[in-house]
Amino acid sequence: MEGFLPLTWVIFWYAASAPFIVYGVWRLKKIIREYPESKPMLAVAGAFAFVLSSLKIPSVTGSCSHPTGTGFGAIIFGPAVTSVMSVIVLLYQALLLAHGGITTLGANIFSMGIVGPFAAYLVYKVLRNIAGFNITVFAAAALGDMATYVTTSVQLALAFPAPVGGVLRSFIGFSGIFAVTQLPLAIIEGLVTMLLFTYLFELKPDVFRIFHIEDKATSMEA
Amino acid sequence: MIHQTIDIIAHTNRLRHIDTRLKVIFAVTTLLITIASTSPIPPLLAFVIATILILFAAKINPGTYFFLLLTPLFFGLVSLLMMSLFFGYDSPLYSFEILSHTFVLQKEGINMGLLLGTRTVAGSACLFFLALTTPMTELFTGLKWLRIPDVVIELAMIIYRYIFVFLEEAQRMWLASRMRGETDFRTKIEVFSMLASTLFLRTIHQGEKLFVAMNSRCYDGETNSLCYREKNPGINITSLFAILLFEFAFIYVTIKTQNMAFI
Repeated sequence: MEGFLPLTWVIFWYAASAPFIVYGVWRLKKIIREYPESKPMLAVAGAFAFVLSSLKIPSVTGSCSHPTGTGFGAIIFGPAVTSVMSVIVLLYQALLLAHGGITTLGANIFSMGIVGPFAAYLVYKVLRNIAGFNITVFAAAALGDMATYVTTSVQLALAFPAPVGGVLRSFIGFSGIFAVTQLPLAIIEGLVTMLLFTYLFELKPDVFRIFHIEDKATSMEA
Repeated sequence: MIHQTIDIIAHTNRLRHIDTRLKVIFAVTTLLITIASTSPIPPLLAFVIATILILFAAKINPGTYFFLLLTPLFFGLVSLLMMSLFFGYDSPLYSFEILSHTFVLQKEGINMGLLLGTRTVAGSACLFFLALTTPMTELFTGLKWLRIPDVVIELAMIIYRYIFVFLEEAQRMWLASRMRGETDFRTKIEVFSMLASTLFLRTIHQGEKLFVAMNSRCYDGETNSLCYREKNPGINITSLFAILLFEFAFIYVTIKTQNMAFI
């Protein structure tokens, strides 16, 4: 939420996100140079991510939550490109939906656009050759989600250390709250992403080829 | 849906034709000073000013504005509650018991919570000022001004265009699934995944069509368009000066009220 983070941390998280975004833009430029047709495709995928995040996932407790979709993006486009897309989508969420904010953008990019996709991608890479595809996708999306929330707890704890016990104590406090509320959501996000891929393969088996990620498609068919 | 409303308001309000750069400078500097403050007074001041500008200068429907404000208000109250219970240690103001567990309200915690709460509400008001008075398309010029790479701006523009196309589509599909009645949790998850995958396939289809359309207009990886606006119009010095004067006064107030607390 806008205005929550102190100025020093606002600057810090912007600076921490910058190198990843620069790398992502570089990757993006390279992809577009090689395959010009991927630009409109990436753009509509960005719009899809925004629309998806404005839809509500059904949740057990009755409250509704928004899917982050970063696991999905990381698997399809790779984590660096997902980071750049998340910058655009987060900016639109702030300006069109009044979700998040401009000062908290840096911190949100770091937790949702960088740590989430990279964690999801890592899990995907590691599990891909060990476990089945469904389990891999589920684990990647759910753990990517959890990584996002853990990072958010760290960010909050660093910004507001407890007077007694410091950062560690407030981290335990914040992550305790997040664990209760976000763990079920991470599992739901994992399930949704898993089913999403299942339906995609049923309806359009060449979905990965469109994004020039052949090796993933071949490993999939096995 | 709220995004459509915000977009329409941004296109129709009274401050629509004010130079985008001035609005961005005003909103962002006020926001930065607000989050740098260590007392709840500057945020309150920023909130009042932003609200006056939104309601009386831009003439935005107060109902819409207060509806938008509900979220930061709720968030502010929650953080006030949490901070007053868990922050601070040697200055208890009041304690009470729930289920044989003693909760102590701490003085530092309440002050911290008030500061955070007011900062959240004031920051959101500044953001709403920008979001409600400036259409996204105008902000692209601002992004170019900030030397954001063309690829990113171009992507952002196409994304913006397609958000509204897909929102309508998603809305229709969601409604169609709702029409079939309430179901159990398992089905809800399945329906949501189905909706998301179908929507994704449609976006791919749309992307292919877009590429064909762009290709047939000699697209070579770059979108060049004529700038129909006046070439690099100068920023209005008087207005800029007025804004800067206000910001300096605001900084002065922030420094003067440093660490001032309510209780």
